[in-house]
Amino acid sequence: MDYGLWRAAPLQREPPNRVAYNGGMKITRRALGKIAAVGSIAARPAVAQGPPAPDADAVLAAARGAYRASSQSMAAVKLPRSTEPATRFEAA
Amino acid sequence: MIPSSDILFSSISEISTRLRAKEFSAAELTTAYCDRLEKIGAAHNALARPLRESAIRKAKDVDDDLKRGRTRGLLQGIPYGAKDLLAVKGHPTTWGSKIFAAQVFTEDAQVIKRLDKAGAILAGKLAMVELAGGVGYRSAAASLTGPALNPWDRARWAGGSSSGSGVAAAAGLVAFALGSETSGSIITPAAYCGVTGFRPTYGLVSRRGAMSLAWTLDKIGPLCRSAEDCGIVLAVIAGGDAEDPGSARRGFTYAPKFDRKVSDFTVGYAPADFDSVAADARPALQAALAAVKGMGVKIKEIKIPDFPHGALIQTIIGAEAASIFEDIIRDGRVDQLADRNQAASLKAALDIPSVDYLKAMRIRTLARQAMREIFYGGVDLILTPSRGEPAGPVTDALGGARPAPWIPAGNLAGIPAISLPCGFAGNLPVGISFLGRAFFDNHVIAIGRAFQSVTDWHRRRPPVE
Repeated sequence: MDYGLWRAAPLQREPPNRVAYNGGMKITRRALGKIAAVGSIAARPAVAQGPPAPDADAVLAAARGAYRASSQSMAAVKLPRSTEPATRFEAA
Repeated sequence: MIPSSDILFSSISEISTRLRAKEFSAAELTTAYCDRLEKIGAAHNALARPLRESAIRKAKDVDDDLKRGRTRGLLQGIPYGAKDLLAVKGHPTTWGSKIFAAQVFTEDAQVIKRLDKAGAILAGKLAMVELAGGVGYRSAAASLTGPALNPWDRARWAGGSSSGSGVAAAAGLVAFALGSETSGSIITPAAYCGVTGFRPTYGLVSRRGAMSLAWTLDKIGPLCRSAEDCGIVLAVIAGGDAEDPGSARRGFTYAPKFDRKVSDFTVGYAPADFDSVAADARPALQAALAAVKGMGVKIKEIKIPDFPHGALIQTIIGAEAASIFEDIIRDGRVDQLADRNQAASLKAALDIPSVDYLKAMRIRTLARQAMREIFYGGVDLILTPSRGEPAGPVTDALGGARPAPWIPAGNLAGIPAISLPCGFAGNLPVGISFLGRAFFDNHVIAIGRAFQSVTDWHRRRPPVE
């Protein structure tokens, strides 16, 4: 999908990195050992939230309802052809 | 010499000058910040993981470099904190959630690498709302570290999702902090905690090694104690990265001496934005509006373009987050989230019709065009309240906050914004925001500096000692 506005001529490219964007997760035994040994402030259990919400089905139904409401608020907007996402191919 | 709290609340330039004048060493400075971070930060649920050992080791290296005259810019030897959605190799990166509590990356996020290269010292990882909170959380406790407490009033929330970053910058626990914003996660904690938060243009800062919530919206930016500090940090973290598909592959230079004169700027604002805020926040916001008018800028009344921004952002974040987190939704780990509303929203998002996502993205094209027309119509910057109210009670369910329509509108358009402290509602800070044209981040920082040259709200300190 092409969002146009932010396209720009490439400037200085940084050296490629072998670790993929948003990837590279790896838990080593040594790292896990460190976590277990040191303990972590982050590992404290989260404080329970306020009063319990209704049952899980009702919460899920409410979440679905919120997305449906969003869908309905978008329904009235007329979409010109210029808003079709462009797909461009380049010679390989 | 152990740096005093006055120094710990100083600007980056001031701390840097004193460090080079050998009033204290980088190791002493880092120790002083680590002490505060581990004591005050932990007491406010703002700290995800202290990194004292590695920080002091790095600080000693900086001291050696400075002795030998190897200088590397203003951030050399300056301690900072990073939102726990940024990978730091060898340490857990939890994304604020129990699901990822044991997650360890083998490489630093790109922004951490850039700061490391500049000599900045990572003192700790900062708390955040789980999974950056983009999908319908309703509780301040939606975090592995518990509800982040506001340093101005511990009974109030610090805002999210960059909660720990807001607290740490406000309470002088670090010299600056990194946060991230998909829709409001820098601006909101900056406003609630009374700090200066900067959301860069989409694509200006690499997100490699950062948790992805919604790839067409995620941005990384600084939370600092002044607009100038934001400019200094942005100049280091910004830059192209071929490994981030959203990178604009542009650099950013912070050069305030080449700023346009403030009197050359035309600032647009919608009067309705200032009328619809909570009564206790209104005097501060009206006074801020008057201060901006008094700066000599040209003023123009505008209206926010008429699009269902909230519906667009909810659909886009929902669909993209469901795609990113599909594995934890399908295998049931999503139920380990502390906030069941967020878990339910992620599950429901898996069923968003593709036609709704496409429609939202197509309407977004129109919304962006409408935003550009405001700027092409002679407006350089848009002024609006950062939030319509001060921070709410930490025990209240979230969701009752007044709409802040320029937050989704600005994020959908990918444009930069800054939140500046502009007064108080009782004992709680109130913030005002400027939004600018895409890639005119320097204009936004310049107007922030100008505002902070005629006000002193950014110098106030919360009662945390």
